[in-house]
Amino acid sequence: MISGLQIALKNAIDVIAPPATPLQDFTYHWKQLMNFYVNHLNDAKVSIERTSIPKHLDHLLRLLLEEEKNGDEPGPCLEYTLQHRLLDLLATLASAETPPGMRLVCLSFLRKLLTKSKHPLLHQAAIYGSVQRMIAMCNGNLASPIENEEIQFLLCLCFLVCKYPHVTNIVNDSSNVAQDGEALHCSIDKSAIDKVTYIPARRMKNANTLFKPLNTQAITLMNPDLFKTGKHRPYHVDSVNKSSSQSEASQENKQPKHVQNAITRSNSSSQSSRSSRDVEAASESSSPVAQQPIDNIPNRVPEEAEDDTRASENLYKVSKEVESSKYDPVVAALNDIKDLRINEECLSSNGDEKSDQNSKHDITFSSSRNPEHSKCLLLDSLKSYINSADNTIRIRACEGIMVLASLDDPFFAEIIAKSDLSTILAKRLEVLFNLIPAQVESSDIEDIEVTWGLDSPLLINEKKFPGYQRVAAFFMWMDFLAQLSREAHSDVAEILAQTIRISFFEKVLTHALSAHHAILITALVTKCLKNIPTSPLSIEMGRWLVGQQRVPDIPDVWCCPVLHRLIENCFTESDDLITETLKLFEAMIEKRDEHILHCLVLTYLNTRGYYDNSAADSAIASWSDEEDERVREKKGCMDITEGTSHSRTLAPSNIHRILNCFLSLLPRQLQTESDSNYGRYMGNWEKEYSIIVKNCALLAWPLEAVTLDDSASSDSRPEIDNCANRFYPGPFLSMLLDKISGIPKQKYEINLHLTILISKLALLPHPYLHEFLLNPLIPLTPGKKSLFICLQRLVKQLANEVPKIQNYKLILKELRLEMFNDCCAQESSDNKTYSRSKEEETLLESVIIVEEFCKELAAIAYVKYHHST
Amino acid sequence: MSYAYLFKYIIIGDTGVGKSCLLLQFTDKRFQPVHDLTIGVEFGARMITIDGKQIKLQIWDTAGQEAFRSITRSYYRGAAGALLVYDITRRETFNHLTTWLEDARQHSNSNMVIMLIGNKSDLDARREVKREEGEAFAREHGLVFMETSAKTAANVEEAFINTAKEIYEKIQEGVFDINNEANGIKIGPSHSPTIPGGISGPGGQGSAQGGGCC
Repeated sequence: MISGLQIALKNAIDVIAPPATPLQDFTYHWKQLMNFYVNHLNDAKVSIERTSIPKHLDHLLRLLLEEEKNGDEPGPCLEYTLQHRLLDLLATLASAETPPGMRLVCLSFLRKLLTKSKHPLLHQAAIYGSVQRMIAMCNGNLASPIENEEIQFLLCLCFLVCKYPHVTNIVNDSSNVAQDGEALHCSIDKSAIDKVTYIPARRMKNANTLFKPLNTQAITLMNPDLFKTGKHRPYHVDSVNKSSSQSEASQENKQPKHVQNAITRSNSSSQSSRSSRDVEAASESSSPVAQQPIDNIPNRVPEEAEDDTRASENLYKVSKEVESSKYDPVVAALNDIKDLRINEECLSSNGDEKSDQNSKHDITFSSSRNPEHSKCLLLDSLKSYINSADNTIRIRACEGIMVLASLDDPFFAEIIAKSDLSTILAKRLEVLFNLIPAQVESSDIEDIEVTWGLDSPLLINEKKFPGYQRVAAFFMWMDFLAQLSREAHSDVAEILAQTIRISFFEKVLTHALSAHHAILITALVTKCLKNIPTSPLSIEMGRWLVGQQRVPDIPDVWCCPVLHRLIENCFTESDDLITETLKLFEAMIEKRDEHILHCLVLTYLNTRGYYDNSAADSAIASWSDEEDERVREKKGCMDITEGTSHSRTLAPSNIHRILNCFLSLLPRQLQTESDSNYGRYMGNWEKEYSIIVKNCALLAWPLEAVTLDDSASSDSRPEIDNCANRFYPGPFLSMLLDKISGIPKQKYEINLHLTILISKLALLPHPYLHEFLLNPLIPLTPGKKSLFICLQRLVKQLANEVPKIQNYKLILKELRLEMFNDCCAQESSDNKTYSRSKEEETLLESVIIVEEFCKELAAIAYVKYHHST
Repeated sequence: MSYAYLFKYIIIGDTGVGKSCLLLQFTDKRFQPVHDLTIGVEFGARMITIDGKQIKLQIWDTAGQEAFRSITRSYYRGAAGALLVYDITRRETFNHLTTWLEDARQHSNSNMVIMLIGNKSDLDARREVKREEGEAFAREHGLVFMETSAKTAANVEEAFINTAKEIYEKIQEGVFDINNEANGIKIGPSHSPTIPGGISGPGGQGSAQGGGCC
């Protein structure tokens, strides 16, 4: 009964005063918002929390989103927003920060509207113009308390750019547009700009054309230079600058003027008392975008909106007055700096293509002073946050950069590739590298596990050792760059990787490898190499390490300065440096990068110069499979099915002879284990070998080691003979063989890493490398060394010297126990039953090393054999 | 609050399947019908108990948007568990599972436990993917399967906890090298009473959270 009454009552009220339509609601809240400015003409310094502005904005947002639920057509509130350029007004207020906090509220409002709306609003002239101005306000170089909101706003734009594929289409199409613009932009007059940036009210009724992007619009989000006549740059709204209204022709003169202005303004505070009339005029002429509503709306807008037009006019006056009243020298100087940058951008953009190519070779870092160089406004803004002290902010900026860089759009990728993004990213790497304290222990580097993202352990405030944070910060950034080079569009990735090679690896690291802290640097390089996944960056790093040339070096004439340096470092006095460098070589081999392996080893072996053909012809001394097969062929029992899938070079049928060569190399009296148990190494190598075979399958290595054309006489192929005579295993293998000979005098640590390194080389499924390292049976070119020859000589030397030591057998046993039980820690003279000098100990340790190394080689040979049968 | 282990999880799947809602339900025990799009990566954490041991789950909620995959791929590294989510009311989210799985397998460590989740089981009337299909897919690819509802909280706890149990078993079997942090498992600080990282306790949203959420 009562409820019935209520309904009746409500109906009666509805007839007398119908409920407000959403549009009425909308305009009400908008007017209320405007009222603040009318009522606070002189004191707009109230904090925004104490005003009703956030509340009204929330209502506006709610109404806009609710209206979307009613259908696909744009509703009246959205139309109102677009027609009256509400967002432009908000952007103006945000840039003026009136009242304080307005910028934060506006960023948040715009972000929510853009991400929640189901319409791709970004294409709207009335919206993206404001968005551009908001982007320009986000600058990480200026410490800002609202960084977080700024970065979220930017990220949301990245998201939108990706979400609506036609944005990328527009970017695609605009390659023509951009070129046309390049040629025509001088003649673009105001009406032409109006035509593309303003949508007449009548057309807005038609949803389809409205929400189809207009070609030239979204591109300007990426490419603000498109309309780079001074007239149409929206930045000038907040910079109150007369010169911007001047013609294009005078642009080059503008720069000094700005400087002048900046100086005079900052010098005389009386500037702040410039008449508001003056300021207003300047502002109007410099911001056609903001001006448009005043020009256009009265002609095109339905009557009902007239009140609001007045309101917005009022607002303009207000905001201008606010701007002028807020006008202080510091802000002016900042604005001028901003303008300066933009102008420089314009000036330099013409010669961009040429200078970019040059800059590849000649990268200078003047850019750190003037980073905004790209044509992508959004990217520029994101870049400004990468040095933020706040990890989260920085990582968010990195996320944004990654998203933009990985957009699958050749035109956009070209813009990014041509920008200074890679230079800036590489510069930060250098800065972080230089911050690493020199006293960090190289041994601490290995265990650092960081990633660039928010999940990185660096964010957990651990302090594992002094300097950890800085080392971790460096590797975090390195990880980001590596992932970026992996994920980015290939054009971007390549430029990025090259820039890092040139401006960091070559410019900074090469020198550092021969400097005072080479041990730490080597450890850092090793860690970088290990952490960088296969990507353009890992390829460039490989090129840095072994040089770009793929032809073999001539003995003693080394082309690659880095490899040269590394090999020299292996012959220094410092045991630690030798160990670290051997570890780096190990990482290089483990990388299984085709270029690295080729330049380091394979290019020297591929001619098979170590193989003595003349001896092979006699075939008496030879027991290789090759000979066996030849014999078989002669006998006529051809077995074609066999040997097609696996290599006879890698799996010789004489495996037992080969194993014996290694296992019986060391004389019995020097052996510390009676049974030559090489089986215990097999498990590990087997696992590793099956992975390696998979990894190396793509390298297209030959299956068999063959000398080019066996039957050809030596006169017809003189170059092969020459090759053989001049056989040079290359600087790296030569170094390894030298080091093998040096085993008796080298520290245990060095010998350990040396033998590991060679074992890992021997494990590679490459026929020539296999022959050279693992097949003692091949006929060797006279006077040339193979691994086995070196080991033989070494053993001979040991067999001569070791028996001179008293009780050597017992000491050997004792040493073995120590080494295998890993109790070197309690190495004190008390524990030693038998006295020995330091040299003797080193010598005896080397015996055990050689013994175990021979077993390892036997195990590897067997594993390779076993794998292919 | 100390923990015995910390497991790193990642939640993946198409946009709009309810990844963020699952996380919110698990960490905060509440449901937000209109959840904002995840932009970038967000974070949540909760403590659970398995076998009498405190285990902290550190969960990374990723954006399902194709464009954000480049970022997501960085987060696969060092994850011990993954929840691969699809929406039972949208067939296409089920159809995309293979690409997600490929991505996950390629960029994570081979021992990562992957749990397949058909979300929105409360919307049975609008179901487009049969339960059996999910089961079959899981069987074929060696995944654990479950249907959940972030709205009613059905199976949400179980999904997260069963994944943790599976990881825990793998640790017991010695499959995971717990000393290698790259496996997404960390042994808790034995003495320190505070949790590193300023990451809040059970149910708390961490400090790292905040991208795109409003």
